[in-house]
Amino acid sequence: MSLWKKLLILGLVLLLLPVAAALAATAAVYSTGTIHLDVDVEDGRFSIPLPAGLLPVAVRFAPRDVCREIDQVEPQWDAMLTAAAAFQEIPDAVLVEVQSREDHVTISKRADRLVVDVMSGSDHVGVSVPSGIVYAVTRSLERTCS
Amino acid sequence: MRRKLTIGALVMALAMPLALAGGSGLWLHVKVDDGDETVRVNVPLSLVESILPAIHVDEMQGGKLRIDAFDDADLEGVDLPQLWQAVRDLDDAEFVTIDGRHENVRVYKEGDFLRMDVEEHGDEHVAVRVPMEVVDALFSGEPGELDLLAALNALGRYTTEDLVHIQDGRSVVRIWVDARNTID
Repeated sequence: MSLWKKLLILGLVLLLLPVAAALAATAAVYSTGTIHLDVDVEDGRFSIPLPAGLLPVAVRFAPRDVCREIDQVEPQWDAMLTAAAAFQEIPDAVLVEVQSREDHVTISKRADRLVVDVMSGSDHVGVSVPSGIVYAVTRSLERTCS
Repeated sequence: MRRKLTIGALVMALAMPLALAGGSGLWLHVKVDDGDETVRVNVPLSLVESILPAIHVDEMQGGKLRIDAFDDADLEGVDLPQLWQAVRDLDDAEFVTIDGRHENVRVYKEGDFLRMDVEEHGDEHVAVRVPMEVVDALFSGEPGELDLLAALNALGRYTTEDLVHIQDGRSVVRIWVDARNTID
């Protein structure tokens, strides 16, 4: 093989490596599912899928103020972790529903996701999170704040 | 405000053993309707069942509540389980009747239930019905403690009516247990 061919292959490998690494990292981040944020308000409508795997990592960099706030309620981490783990096992249902003249808020377990829907007049904001991430975030908060 | 806090504390105290009612597919339901706003809460009892043993705070340890540790509970010389047994062995009767200027209180035994009615001269009415079997289970632990986890299993057999019903003017609070994961 001629030298220029070797250099070409080396160049291609060097070019593809970061692309492959980026693809692998993206796949890893998305492997835990996505957080869906749906906003439908007067000014516009958008829907964003965010990689759920980033959330527990982001929590590790939570400012100390957040931890101080959490500490004020003297969290029972064992109980919270147990609850977060048990949440994955419960069947689908509307867990909390608040209905007033103006607003309608629901917190549900649906298709293995924690779903929060807020309807206010004609506006709608919805967030859904994989139930496994609830545990991961709780664990991450415990490690960061305790 | 103080009255609302009292009612809130009562509801919480009563909801705790209700929330512990046997985990097998049962749900705790709370519905608060004040005419303008309705709040519905559905909690699978299995969730509560798994969380409770993990709570270790003050008098609440591993699903048991130490009632002799409360600062304002002067229970020295009072054998609550024995007192309860004496009440349990009686026929249906009214044990406590208070006719006050502001409220009437009745505590009585009716069939398998210990019942309490509080009627304020106004339009507030609190009705509580606790299965006798649940109280038996509460007192089944060590002296001076209430076994909430044992009460859980006992309460799972009482899913027909409201266990707590509070009517305060237009506001209605209901707490009950059944096998459905929805309200109404």
